[in-house]
Amino acid sequence: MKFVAITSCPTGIAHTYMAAEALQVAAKEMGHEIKVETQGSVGAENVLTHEDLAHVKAVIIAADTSIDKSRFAGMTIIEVSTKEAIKDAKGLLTTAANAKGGAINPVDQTTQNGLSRPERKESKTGVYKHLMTGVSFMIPFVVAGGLLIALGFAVGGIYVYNVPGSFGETLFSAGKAAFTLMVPVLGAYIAFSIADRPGIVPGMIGGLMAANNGSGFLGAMVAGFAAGYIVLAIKKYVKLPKSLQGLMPILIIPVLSTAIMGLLMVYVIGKPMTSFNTTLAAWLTSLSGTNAALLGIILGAMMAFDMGGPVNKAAYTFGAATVATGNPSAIMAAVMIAGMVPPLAIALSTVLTKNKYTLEEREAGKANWALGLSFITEGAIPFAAADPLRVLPSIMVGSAVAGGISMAFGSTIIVPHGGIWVLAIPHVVANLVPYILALLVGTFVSAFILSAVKRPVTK
Amino acid sequence: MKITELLVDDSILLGLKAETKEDVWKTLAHSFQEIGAVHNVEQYLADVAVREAKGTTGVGFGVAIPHAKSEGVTRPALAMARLEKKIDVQSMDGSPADLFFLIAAPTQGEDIHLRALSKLARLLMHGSFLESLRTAKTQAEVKAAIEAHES
Repeated sequence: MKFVAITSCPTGIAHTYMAAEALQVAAKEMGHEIKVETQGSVGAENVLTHEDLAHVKAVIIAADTSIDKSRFAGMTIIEVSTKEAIKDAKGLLTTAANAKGGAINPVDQTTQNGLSRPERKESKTGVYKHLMTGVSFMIPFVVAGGLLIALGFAVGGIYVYNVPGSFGETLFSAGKAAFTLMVPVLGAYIAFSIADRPGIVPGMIGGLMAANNGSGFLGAMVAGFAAGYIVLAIKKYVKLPKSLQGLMPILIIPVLSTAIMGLLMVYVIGKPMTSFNTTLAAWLTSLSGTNAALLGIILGAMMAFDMGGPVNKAAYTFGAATVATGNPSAIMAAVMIAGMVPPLAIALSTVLTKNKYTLEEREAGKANWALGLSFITEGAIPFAAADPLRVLPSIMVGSAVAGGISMAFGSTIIVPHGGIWVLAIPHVVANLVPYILALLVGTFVSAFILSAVKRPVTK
Repeated sequence: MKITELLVDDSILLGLKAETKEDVWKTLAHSFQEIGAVHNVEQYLADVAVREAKGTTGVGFGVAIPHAKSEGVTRPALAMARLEKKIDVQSMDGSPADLFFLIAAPTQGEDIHLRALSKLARLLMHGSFLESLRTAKTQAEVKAAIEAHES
């Protein structure tokens, strides 16, 4: 198996090199391949290059100082002190060899010389790395935006946005601005991870178009990947005479990639998205007469499906329309409670199974308590974007359960948002007890599923 | 720079009798002063103690590598002691140590000696190297063993 490692100690004279040597000796004895970068008092030596990171089973960091891990985004990282590497380098390598995530399967060891398997593996960890880069840039926007919006509501009431210029409305607007940017930022930094700086322009623009055309964060993920690979393709296939090559970074790449991106977002993603949205809305209207609990389940699952994307929007718009007349609405009640479940379930899951979330995610998890209680479903987006196939189904189940319970007990609401904070106001919600029960059950169901299906983060 | 260029014969003490690690540091630091590598022994020993307090330099396998960058150091130097009887150094693997390498590094100046020291640190991870240090009968044999493994 192939490993890379970094060793570093405070004085940078002895332990750095002893740990490096111990790892190299142990790797040789065990038949592994390892390259060790030493960050000692003479500076970094034997520096790991981008090529070194390909096909690597795990990154071992044996250090007593803080090491910049950004270049290992998405890779399996094992962190120990130099002491542990010096004392038991073989044990450390065994741990690294057995580490989960981004791993070559044990069966692959024998076929490592065959090119196809490792290559496929590389592209897989690549996709994950690009997603994580985008997500980690997006998280601060989500947290800042969500909390400011919640604060705005807390200060100025649930119709705060009707009082322009007020303190509460200002906080709310700042939060909304952060939310406006978060989806483009996701697209921009997925593309950045793939194609470096030139990826940012088409990625960000594509992400913004996704936000505007209603395809939400899923659309922005597509845009980010498309932008990254469009830029790479332009770099590869557009050949200019030497005298004009200076135009590539400032003119050709940004203009061409953005034009392709724009066409893609409008004709390939935007148009079908609009008609899809219309179809969904019509379908929901046709369901109005059916079994209440079933409608609640469907609406709940839709709320969690893409959080701000076309499916979620269709459900929310459907619900919001029913309260526009001022009547108590069971549909809106189900929609809101279902929309509160995803962030709360994620927050609970980060507490239940800490080992399955990165430090960054656990911190974002704390903010999700406030976001979920405020019916700001977007808090769940970074988690869903990082691991869509596990997170989306998990939160859909809980949201469906919450929506179903709410409808079955006939809870109603007279406002289109506000989260837990409006429940305290008399007469806003009818059948309050089952309504709260719906939230609790939905949250627990999703959190347990999520904690069960998520994979542990190996450090 | 070769490791042996930092290690003069007078700084290799074979069969040293010592009760504590501080005794060993003091004896070896004294040899640094004699050869003019350290001008302020007290300052230097204080810095060694500070480094030691951050985490043991008893690295296991019976080896200790007390070291410090210090204002009291004039030029880089290395000293070695082989004890008659192993003593406790609160080492990582709990084993007592009989091989001590004391390292003196100036706070300023060229880093060329650091490469030599990093090579020494790497050599310490090889059992055969330690074995040859333990069986060496003279200072010359110690240096020969180091040179043999260094290349």
